[in-house]
Amino acid sequence: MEFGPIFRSLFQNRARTWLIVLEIGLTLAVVVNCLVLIRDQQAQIGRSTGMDEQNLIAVTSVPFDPAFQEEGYSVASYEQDLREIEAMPGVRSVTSILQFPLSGSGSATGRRIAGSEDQRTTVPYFLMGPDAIDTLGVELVQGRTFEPGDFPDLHDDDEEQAEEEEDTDHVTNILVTQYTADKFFPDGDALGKQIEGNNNNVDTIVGIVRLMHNSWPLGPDPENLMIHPSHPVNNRQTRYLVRTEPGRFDEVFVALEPKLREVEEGRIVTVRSLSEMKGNYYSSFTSMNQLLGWISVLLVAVTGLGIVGMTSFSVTQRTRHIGTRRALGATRGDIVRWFLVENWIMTGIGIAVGVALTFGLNYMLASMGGVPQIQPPILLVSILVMWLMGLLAALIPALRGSLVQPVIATRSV
Amino acid sequence: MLLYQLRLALKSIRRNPVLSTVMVLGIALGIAVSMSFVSAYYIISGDPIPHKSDKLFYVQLDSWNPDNPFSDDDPTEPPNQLTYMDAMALMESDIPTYHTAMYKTVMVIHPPNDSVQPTQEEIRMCFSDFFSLFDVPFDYGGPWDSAADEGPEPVIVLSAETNDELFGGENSVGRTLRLEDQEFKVIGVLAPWHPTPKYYDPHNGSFDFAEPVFMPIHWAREMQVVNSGNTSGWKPYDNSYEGKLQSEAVWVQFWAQLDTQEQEERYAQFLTGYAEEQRAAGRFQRPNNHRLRDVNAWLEFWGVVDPSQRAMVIIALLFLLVCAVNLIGILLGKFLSRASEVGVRRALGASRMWIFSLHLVECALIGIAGSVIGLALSLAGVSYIQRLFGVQLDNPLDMTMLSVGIGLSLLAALVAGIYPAWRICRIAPGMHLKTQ
Repeated sequence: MEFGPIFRSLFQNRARTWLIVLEIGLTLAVVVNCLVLIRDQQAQIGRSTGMDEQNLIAVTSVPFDPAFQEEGYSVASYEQDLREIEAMPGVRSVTSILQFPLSGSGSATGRRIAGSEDQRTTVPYFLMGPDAIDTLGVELVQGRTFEPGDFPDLHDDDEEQAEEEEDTDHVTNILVTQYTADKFFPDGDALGKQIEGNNNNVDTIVGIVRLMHNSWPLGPDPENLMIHPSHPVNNRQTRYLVRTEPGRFDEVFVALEPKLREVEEGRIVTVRSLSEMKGNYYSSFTSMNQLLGWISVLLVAVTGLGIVGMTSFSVTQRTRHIGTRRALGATRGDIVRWFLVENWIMTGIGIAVGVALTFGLNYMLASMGGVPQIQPPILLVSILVMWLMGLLAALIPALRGSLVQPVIATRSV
Repeated sequence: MLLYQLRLALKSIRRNPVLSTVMVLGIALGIAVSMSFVSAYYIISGDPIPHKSDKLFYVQLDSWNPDNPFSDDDPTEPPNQLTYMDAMALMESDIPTYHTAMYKTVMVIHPPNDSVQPTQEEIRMCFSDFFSLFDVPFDYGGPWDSAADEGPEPVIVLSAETNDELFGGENSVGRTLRLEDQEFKVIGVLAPWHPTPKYYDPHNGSFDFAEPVFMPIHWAREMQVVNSGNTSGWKPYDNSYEGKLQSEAVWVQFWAQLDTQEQEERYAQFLTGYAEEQRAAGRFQRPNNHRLRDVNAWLEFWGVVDPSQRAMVIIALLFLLVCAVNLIGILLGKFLSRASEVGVRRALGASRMWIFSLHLVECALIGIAGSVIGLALSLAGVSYIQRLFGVQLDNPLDMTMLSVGIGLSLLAALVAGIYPAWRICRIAPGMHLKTQ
């Protein structure tokens, strides 16, 4: 194959060459940056939350029957709900909870090492009932889970539970994540240690959970979390978290609302899967990924069609030229190869320009704070795709060009 | 003359139907993608209430813990909401043209039709000024008056969507509705109203819809309903309902309309005076530090526009650039492949200018076709983006955006055509005749 003449003919038609080069370069730059964004966001959605999220169901009960306002009614109904849900076939365990994980709405409060003069740092927390650890499906790496003695007496204090600050002077046994344990006690000896909030309420760490996300997985520290033993029941709203046996999710999911209404009619029962709540929380990511995906596909398609168009005109323009070469003994394969090599060269230069543009664009977008760094595998795959696309796009006009009869050379238009 | 050129251009477009389609669709896609992104961005980053955004102020006071600043990130920043006590005290001022304390809560609504299950809905608790302050449009009835604030009278305002759902969209003014255990009379129904972003309360979802029901704020106290939005506290308080109202926890938003510079200054003085009074009484132990942010400063402070959205706009504009380069390339190829024909025309006396304009006419035709299809696609694109992000816009594509879109695609096609047309009109007549 003669590269010399191909090169020379390429640069005889400079404008066309550079336009293809520029188009391929820009397309590569945009596509790689889109893919980097998509990949990064998918990785965040896909990372482990520590919980058995596939089998978890979030239930909210909002009473409207005036009976709930009567002394002790809410608590009785709460205890009955827990018993009835637990007894449902397919349910592995159930617990109560004040605010749901992964939902984007939750509670947080200040804590510091007990007895220290440090500034308090913010720690998100969940108030959860018995069976919290087994229901969440999180892994306990040190210490123990909650015991009945850790919980406040339900019948003694059945008015509204503290949602903000617990104001009593007592010590609570709590669970924390490894992340939070290490944050307060970097030496790894958090078990049995105490932290305190405002007004001397002190927490003793009795167990450490390997990993669990709080209510804000996209926040600065998603694994920062403590779990307080509580019975988060009140006369306005009560929430339960249900973990099903593997494979029995659907069955339990549809049975929950009728079951709870059967137990107590005068309330609104909302049943959602934890996966759905997670999906909602991450929905801006999912939506953006869809858009970025569409943009990438459309862009490659536009560029591909553009190359088909530009190459076919350049074939038409060179009909007589092809005829002459065929007359002088060039085979059809030679002609196809000629156009393909020409295209390879252009695509090659385009990709080289594109790599530079990719990093330039990434730098610019990153300085605006929106885009992570380029990962080499993504760049390599995109280069391969662009190169194949260029080749395919040139193939169609090249094949048509090879059909030109040698006799064309001697005929005038 | 122009007609003849038009006929020739049409003929040329028809000669390569596939490539002409590629060109038209390419430019249409470029327009659609960039237009829908730019208009989406323009809406979320734009001014939600342009005619008075510099007169509406979000009020902040520093009632926070003397030992710790409210925000670790910016220790100079006062709390982002007010305590209930302070919000009610500010309502005593007669300086603002309109002002309202407000917050969000949830209540159980019992639909008028008994066969429908009750639902739990978000309620905005506010003063009657809310509607005048934010220029909220009404379809039926109107806001309650300030006497109803104080009573409080059992009246509510419904959003258009809620009225559709509960009363089938008819004029429901005068009808009653039970919320929790209290009967309320509908006094007004809003026209569709979707402030985007939800600037009056970005604390709880900046792109959430406006609440379905609006209610005089003092009903919360009558009905012992707590807020459902963000609450931050630093000082322990009594767990009862009144305890929360008397606490140092912040959970109430406050807006004031100050029309003149003079009002603004007097109001600032009033806030300073209030803080000093409270300090004397043992509260407000931090330095004087109130904020009066207008709508745009407030949105900027909240950082409602995500940097990744800006990145999306750049990507969309690059998309348009690729489409334009694509168009230039195809046009150039197409025009140059007709060199011999142009050679003949030149030899027969056509001027360079004539050849140039002939080719530009062809580009303009492609541009027009592209812009028509592109605009249709933009509409689809904007509604797709709205659906994707769960945002509802009162006015997704306005006339400015439409004309910008048409102008842009014509311009793109013409600019893209200039170089190829210039190349082709410079063809020497002799060259192409000789080689034939």
